[in-house]
Amino acid sequence: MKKCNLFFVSYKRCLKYLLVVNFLFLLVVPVNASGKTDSFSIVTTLTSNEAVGRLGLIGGVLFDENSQRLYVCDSSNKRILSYDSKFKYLDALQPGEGLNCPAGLVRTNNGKFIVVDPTKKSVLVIDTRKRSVKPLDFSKVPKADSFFPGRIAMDSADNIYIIDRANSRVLLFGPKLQFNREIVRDDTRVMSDVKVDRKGSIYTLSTIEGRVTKYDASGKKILEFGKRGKDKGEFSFPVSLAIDGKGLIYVVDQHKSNVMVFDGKGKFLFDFSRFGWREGRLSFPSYIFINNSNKIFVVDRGNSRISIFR
Amino acid sequence: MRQNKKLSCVSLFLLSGLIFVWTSSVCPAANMPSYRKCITCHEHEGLRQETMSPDAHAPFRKQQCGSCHDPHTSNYKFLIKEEVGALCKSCHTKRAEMQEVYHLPVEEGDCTSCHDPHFSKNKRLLIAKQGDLCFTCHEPESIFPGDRKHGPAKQKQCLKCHYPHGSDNEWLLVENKKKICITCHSKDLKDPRVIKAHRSYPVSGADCVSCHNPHASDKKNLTRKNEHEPFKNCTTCHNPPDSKNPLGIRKAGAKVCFDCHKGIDRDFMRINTHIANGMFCTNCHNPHVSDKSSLKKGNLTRICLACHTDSKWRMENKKIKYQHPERKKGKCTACHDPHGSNFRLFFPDKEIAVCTTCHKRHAKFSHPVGDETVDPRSRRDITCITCHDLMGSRYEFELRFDRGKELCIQCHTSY
Repeated sequence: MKKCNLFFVSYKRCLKYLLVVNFLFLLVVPVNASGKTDSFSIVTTLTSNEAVGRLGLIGGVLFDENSQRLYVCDSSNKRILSYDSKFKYLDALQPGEGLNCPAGLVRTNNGKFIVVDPTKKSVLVIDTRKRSVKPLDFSKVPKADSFFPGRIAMDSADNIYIIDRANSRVLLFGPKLQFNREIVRDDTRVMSDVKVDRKGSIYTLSTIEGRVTKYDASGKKILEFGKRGKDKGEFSFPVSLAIDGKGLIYVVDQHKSNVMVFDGKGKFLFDFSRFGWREGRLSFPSYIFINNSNKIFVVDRGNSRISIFR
Repeated sequence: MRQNKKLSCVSLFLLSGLIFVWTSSVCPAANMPSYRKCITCHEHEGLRQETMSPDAHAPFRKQQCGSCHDPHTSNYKFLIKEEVGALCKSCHTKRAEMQEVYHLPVEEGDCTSCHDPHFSKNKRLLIAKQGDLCFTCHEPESIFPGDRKHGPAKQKQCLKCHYPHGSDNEWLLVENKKKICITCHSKDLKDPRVIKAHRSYPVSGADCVSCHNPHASDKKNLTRKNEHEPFKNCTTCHNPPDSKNPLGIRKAGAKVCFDCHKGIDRDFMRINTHIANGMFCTNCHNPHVSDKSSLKKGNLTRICLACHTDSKWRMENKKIKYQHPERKKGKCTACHDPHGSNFRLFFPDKEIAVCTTCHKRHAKFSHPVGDETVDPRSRRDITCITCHDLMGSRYEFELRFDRGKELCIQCHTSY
């Protein structure tokens, strides 16, 4: 009887402990793994279809908060595709001879597109209202003759940041599209991507060194992290980065075919997605963009599509 | 009293156990039983005589066969206890220290490709004389591309410049490549003939081997075979030798190259390019002389994998059994355009067009591919690389999946 009673008590205790452990697990896990693979769900995938036609080599993407439209550079097809806020295809912007190969773009508050065209070695200003395509004025840019455009970014004040790959620098243009200054320069590395967070901090990514560098709004280096390697949290071939509203840094690794997430201090948190063809998987992703509502747009170049995660 | 006795017995036992563990960890051979019996059977191999040689490997000389071999069973050839590399490193711990560059046999743990584990008439148990040993793998034709030979190379004194195991310097050099030549040729820098040969440009601190072949050449002063046309007229690209910055380039960035190599700049005006900071052409090409075609700085694999380190790791993955033949040869440019491309992954053309330039039969007959086909998984067009992974695969024909099991049902799900 005693034994039975004892057994009964311990069984009850066990049940209690289990409940407590389960409760703690529920409390702790969502905090630590708030963004793990499972919690990143795919919103939709934009692929080739009858309306859009066959997608070519996709360059950059941009979600314009003012118009609530998504713009996609279909680089090899010489066009910029637009989708509405529910990601329904709307139209294609094909300015003709003025634009040869849109590789990246931003849109100013007054509706002008600033588009990088590497095949013309230039940055173009497309004014859809005036139906004009003009090159951005580089007359005041030092070493402009050896300029080669890389990725482009814009901050909330309409300042435009353009990577000059041939001179390892980031050029800053003001809201009136006038050259302001060379805001970041680092001769030791090739910059692959640039993004600006909501506070105005500038982030650059170097693929070969596998380094993410953060600069304050004046261009002073304040943080540097990352390296190439085989371990978790190390980069294989990082190609693009983006910063979300919470200040988390997302880095797309082309050869790992995933997205790695770091906190504001550069500590690796987790990664999501992996190589594959089905929805939610990535094949040689090349670009990442995060909008104000924290939707993550990943250019899945190998699969010729844009995967949108939340 | 009794308890004290018990305690001392236990502590003595523990102490002896500790001593045993310590001695066996210091050198596994220390507590080996006698293996003299081994020689009674293996005498026909002349082992007994070799064990008497003072130059024999110490455990072998002491007939401690059990330090390397298991007399009963083993998973490895010759009944050795572990894989060769790990076995050697269990005693030769110094060799296991991390260094930047390793000789391939060291990296692969293949110590016996250079050393005899028992006995050798050569120093350091080498399987051949030091000078000849290197050339058993490194073919003399490739090492000596000319008849004029550098002194140490002529005397086969490879170890004068290279470490045989590992080094923190490129090419296993005993010294940084910018300093190594000076260790012998320091006086030469002041020699008027040398100054004249370099057209009065300062060369101290320069990378000598970028222009001189350290082994052999057909050219005078061991300069490399192929010369860049303006090499004899330095001022085409550089400032005059008496200027403030004589080695400075006359034009900004790669413009100095594109001014002569007209049209090449268009290769870089593409979506994917290898544009980098400054005079980026010299990342892959030598602007002066080279033994390679197109003045390339070295073998393609050496050039490409210097940056594409993750591809190197992938190539070294032993699980990858099947590789595209061009990849095996290290000809990256067979499929990729090294300057720039408007197509995926630096392909010079559309994927199918690239593959069918060689695989002509597949252009006419294959699984449906091309713009009219759709991969049901990704909704993109089906191409050769939908099913083949040319950078290497565990499956035959570099297929992404086993064709007997999972390949077809990736798309044909109803089967």
